[in-house]
Amino acid sequence: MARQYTQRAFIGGNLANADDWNSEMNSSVSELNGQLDQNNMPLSTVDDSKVADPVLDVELDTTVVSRYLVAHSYMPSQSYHVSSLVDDDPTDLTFETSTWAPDDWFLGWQRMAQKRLTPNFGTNYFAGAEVQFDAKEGMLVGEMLIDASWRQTFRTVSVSDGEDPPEITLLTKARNDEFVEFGVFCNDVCVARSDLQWLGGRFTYVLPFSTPIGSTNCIVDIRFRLIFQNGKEVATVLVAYNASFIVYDSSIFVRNQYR
Amino acid sequence: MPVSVDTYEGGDALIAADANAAYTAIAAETAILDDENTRSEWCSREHISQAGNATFNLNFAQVEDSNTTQVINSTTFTQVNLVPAFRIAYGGLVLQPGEVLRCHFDINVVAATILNPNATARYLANDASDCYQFRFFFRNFVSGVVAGFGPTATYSTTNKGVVNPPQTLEIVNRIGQRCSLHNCFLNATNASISFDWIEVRARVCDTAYLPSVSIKEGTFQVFRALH
Repeated sequence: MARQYTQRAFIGGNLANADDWNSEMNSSVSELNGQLDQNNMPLSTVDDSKVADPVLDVELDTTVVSRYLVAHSYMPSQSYHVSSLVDDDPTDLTFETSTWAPDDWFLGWQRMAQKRLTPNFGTNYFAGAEVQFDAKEGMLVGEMLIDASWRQTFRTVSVSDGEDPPEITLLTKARNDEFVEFGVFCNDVCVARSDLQWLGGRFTYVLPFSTPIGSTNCIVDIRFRLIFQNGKEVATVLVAYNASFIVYDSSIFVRNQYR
Repeated sequence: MPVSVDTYEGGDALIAADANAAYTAIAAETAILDDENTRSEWCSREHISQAGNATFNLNFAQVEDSNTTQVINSTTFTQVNLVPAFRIAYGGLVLQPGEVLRCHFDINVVAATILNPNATARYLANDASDCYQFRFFFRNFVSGVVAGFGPTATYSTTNKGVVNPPQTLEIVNRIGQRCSLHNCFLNATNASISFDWIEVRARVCDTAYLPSVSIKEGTFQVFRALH
């Protein structure tokens, strides 16, 4: 509240009237008891020590350095939400991966959470695939990271030279027609996409995103599209090998900047 | 905290000690104002200190270089050093529970020495054999322990698979690559963590397939979210 002025000043020689005294004192006291606002407070004085500490909410944390981590930090001006599935030892070849074998492929966006369940005591946390939280009106900004592999697919066919008698030769043909696209979805709305990438090996993609958000429950998750063409072979296919789509490390973090 | 002063009825004697006590209470309270004394949303942008460290995000630090080329040829994680080294030193940056340290790194891989695919097996020993990796490492200022943290960025240089094809396949090499890595490190413990430094390291996974890669033109940024 704005500055309060003295209503009844005491003048030398006057008697101090109880009502005047009470009025003046209560005016000041009521100001101090919860009415101080930006007109009263000094400028440029709010610093780190005067702002409330973050409130931490850890849903899942399997190790100190977090092989599986789903955690939230609510701060006065923003909140952070992290979901990650990370190999503590990159040389550990037994690290858990999520594999989409050819039978799992279909056209359209696939949720990574469908295979990256990360169950813990009967609850799926989808570490590294999605994060759920109560957003406040403002903006969401963040990034997803995914280390994915989709290796070369090949077919071996028998080819005839057309002579009589025919001479049959075996030919193994590489198929380099596989593309992948990654996307970030916020409450089922696509907020970032990588465009089609020729994977042809193992790569890591970092995809930034941002979107306005209202005060609502929010799910941000990673999805991908697998583009593959089953071109028909005129010759007899003797061996067909389709490399699986494999996901290793993945993480997603979201920062909710309050309005 | 709330201030309480005596009020008077008509005819009460105004004792000097009581009057002084009221003034003293007000004077004392104005030095320890807290949430009970202020209205909600009293703080505007003009009230926030801009001196020294920022209030909400701070310690923004960056390393970048675009001229020097470094050859990575070890299977052990090695510091990325494009002169300057991609290390940000803090000497005891304390990250309290719930605080966040965001690290971002990207770099170009401009060359790779890939062994002739026909001179080696037509398939890989494992899915990382033809790959190189980047990862963040930090040194704990208190314990002195150096450890990797956050995800690892892995990139392959060929499209070879881990299944042996019946016949030799044409192998496609993919050398030039912009590589990126992030880590949003949220201190999810109930104790503070003290950082001595943070750096980026790189390695090749298997020198039998990929003896070396050359890296150049990188950036590395770290900042801390407090409030």
